[in-house]
Amino acid sequence: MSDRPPPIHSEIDETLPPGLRPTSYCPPLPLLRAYQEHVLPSTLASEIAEHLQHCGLCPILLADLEHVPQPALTAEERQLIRQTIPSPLRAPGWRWYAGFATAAVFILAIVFLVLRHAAPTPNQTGQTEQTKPSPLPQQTHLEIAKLDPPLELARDLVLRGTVPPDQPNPAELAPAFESYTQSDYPLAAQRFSLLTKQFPRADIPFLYLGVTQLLQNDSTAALPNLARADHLAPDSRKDSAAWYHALAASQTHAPEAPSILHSMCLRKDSAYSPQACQLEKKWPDPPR
Amino acid sequence: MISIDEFNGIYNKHVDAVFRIVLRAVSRREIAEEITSEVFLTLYQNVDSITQDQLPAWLFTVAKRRTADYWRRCYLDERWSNQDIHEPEEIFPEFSLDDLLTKCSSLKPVHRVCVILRFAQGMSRSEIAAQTGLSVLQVKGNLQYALKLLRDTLASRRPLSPAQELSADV
Repeated sequence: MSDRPPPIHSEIDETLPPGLRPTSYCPPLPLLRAYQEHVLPSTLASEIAEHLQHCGLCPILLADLEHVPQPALTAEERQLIRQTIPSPLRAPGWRWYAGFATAAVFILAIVFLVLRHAAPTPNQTGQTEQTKPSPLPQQTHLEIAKLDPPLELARDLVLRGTVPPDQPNPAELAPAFESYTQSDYPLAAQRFSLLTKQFPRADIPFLYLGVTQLLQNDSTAALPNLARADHLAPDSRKDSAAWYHALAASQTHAPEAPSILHSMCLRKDSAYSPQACQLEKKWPDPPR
Repeated sequence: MISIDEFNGIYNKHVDAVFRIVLRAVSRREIAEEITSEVFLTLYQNVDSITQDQLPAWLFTVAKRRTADYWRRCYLDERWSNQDIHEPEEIFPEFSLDDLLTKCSSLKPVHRVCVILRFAQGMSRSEIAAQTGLSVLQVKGNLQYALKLLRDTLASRRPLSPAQELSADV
């Protein structure tokens, strides 16, 4: 007889009765449901179909799941999704107006350059060159400053604690930041984009993907990524995320741009506040 | 052309249905959230060419395509059949779980779902809760109730022997 004391059950026994077992290895539930929804690649779908032909449990599971109500979209999720989508332009004539304004600015810029080129040089006139601030058009092309990688990714920095599972760890971020710091923007964008798919609740991939796209002059693609980064960013990165979001919104003439710029301008603790105020002044009144 | 108000109206009206469809197909909320976002972003980008009467069918079609893209990306290379399969180690059980589940008429769908997810899919209580929208406590209760019924059914189907006597400690 064993001297071992009987096991202490802190809770009720939750094991299958002896002699009762599932008789086959079943594919994971997400695959089964995806098969049911006809969204699997054909080779994978045929493997699941074959499994379902001889498995007794999976058909029961799929049928019973129809009777279990699925958890609905929460208000927070609904808001998060909405924030990643820019609002469409207000009126049908707006785009025509914007196009016309851009063309006018472009023509003025060409005329200005031609006249400047044709003007006599200071040596010819004997005058000293004066640097005058060039008249900025209403919709100016903005100079995008490159955002430094986050401090916690600095080399030789040892962080305590573990990274949450929904956040990428420094090793996972390193390849993307390597391309980013080397100004290999296409590769950096590709790598950050993969990270956004892998970690949809992490702000860093969205923020740096957006900044990379801004640096590539693709502000339309940058806008939803920066909007999401702005929403997800913790306090330490909120300022940068909001600023780059504002830049993308300005460049794409998004209707939300004035409000973002205005709120940034009012925030005196923001490092970007003066720039936001300056940019806000250049923003034209929206057409009524 | 759809105005801001119309767009917001469309979003509010259809986002739940699109999310539900995507969630069914991917089973992960954060991925479903991401794909739903992509679907409405595609609507935004094609806002000039879409008319109200094409909705919500257009949204559902895009949602299906995006989920198919997701699965193609995820599972094209790593097929479930090639993974380390935990076969039931040459076990020839006296009774198969599926057989007993169908015989036990007192079990409701939610009980069967909890049992299959726990013992065939190997999910923890919290994972089952996330999949079904039940609380962890409800999952625990359902599992205990279902196991009790299964034990009772099993006991009535085979002669009792000292070695196989089922514990009645539930």
